[in-house]
Amino acid sequence: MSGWLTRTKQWIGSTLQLPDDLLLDLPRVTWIGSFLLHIENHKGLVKVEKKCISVRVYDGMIEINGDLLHIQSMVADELVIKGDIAQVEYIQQQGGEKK
Amino acid sequence: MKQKLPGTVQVTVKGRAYPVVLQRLHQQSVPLHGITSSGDNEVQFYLSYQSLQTLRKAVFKTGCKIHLKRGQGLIYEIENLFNFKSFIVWLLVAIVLVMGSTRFLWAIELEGATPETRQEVGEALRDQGFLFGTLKRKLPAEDQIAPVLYDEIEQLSWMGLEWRGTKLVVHLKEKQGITINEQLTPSHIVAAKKGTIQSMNIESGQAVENVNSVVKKGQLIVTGLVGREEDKHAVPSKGVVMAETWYEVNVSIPEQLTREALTGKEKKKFVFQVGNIKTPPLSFSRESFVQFAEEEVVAPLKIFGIKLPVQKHVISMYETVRTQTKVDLAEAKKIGLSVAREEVLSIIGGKGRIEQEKFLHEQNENGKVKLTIYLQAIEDIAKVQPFSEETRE
Repeated sequence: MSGWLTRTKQWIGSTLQLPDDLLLDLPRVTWIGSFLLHIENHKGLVKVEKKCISVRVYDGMIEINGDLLHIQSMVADELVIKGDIAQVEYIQQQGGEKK
Repeated sequence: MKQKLPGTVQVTVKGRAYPVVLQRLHQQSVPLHGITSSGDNEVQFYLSYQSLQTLRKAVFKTGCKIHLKRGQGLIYEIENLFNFKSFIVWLLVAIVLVMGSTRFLWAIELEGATPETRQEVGEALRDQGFLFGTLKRKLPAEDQIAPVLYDEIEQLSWMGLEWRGTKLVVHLKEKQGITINEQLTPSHIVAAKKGTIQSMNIESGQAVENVNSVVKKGQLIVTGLVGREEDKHAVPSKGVVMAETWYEVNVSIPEQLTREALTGKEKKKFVFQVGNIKTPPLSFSRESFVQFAEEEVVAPLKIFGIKLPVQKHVISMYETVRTQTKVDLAEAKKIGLSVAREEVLSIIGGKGRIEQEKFLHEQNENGKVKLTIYLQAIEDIAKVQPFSEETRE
């Protein structure tokens, strides 16, 4: 998606007072304490390991580091990750593609 | 049915391209649960039984290996139900249930007596612990329950318990008529007839006459006043006094006797009846009898053991011939004697017997034989005669 389209969408969103995640297909991440992470609007899994889980999102990846991680459920656009979550990293890639 | 039951499968995907498998499953929007990594390049998750098909497509050409393991869910439980082991278990359970249930009382059936008595007995039994679903062992025995019931229900004269499987059948007999507690009043025994006393069997009272004494009708044989002269008290007399009595019987027998005898010829007529409508009698033979005896048998018509609503009357006609036989004196005497005996026996009742018989007189008159027969019988002549104590002396 080119830059101007994104900007236009952002402008429409701000004018109509719509949440950005709906309009731009962006993920919404809810982190509860250190043990539960709720990711909406994900695009799939990239890596599943005990210490690291990578989730594909619209414009990049979300990498979760921690210990004893596991995915409780993956239903449609929702993902619930459990475990001792130490770090959540948003790795942005332009257009959702790897550089 | 199998398609709709809930159930999960544990899937282990092994291979470097496991993210591709997950990605494809996600694209097919297959819900996954409990995704964990179980080793290097190995991931484990649960998915519903119904989405196994999609999994196969997802793994296609990724070079990954999958292992399936049984998860949990109703589908497996039901499968378990139908395998042989559990079949045996259920069979045993059923047998135990049936055997167990036979140890209980399930029904009480009352037979005989009037509905009122049955109702009363039913209530009394309930009070005694005969309730549905109680253990047979814990029920009181027949000899325990019977006296209680006899006590409680006056009308009951007899009861019997019978087990028919789990059903208890109680047979009841009611007292017939009204029971009177006989209050015997003081009484004498007098002679009902003239006769010679042969034997006496006195239960209560004091004999006045002796054996071999001749008594007239109404003469006192046993007195109800017992005791010494000064101190007599009245009792009801009871006893049997067998005495010799005499009867004279006059019998007249005609010399000509008409008898009807069967010739052996038989004819049958059939009448069919539906409701109140009868067919005319149907007969297969053309013989006609001048004299005949008829016999009718009615039975429902049956075909192959099935009753039809048709009544079948079978009228059997037997041809008879009326013969007249002449009776000579010896035969007439025989007949007369048997008639006389019968008559006397009917008078003297069950305890009596005939001792001696004698022809006193025989006369042939107007085609009839007239006989006078003397019969000596032994019978009970005791007749209870009550008296009131106030009137004595």
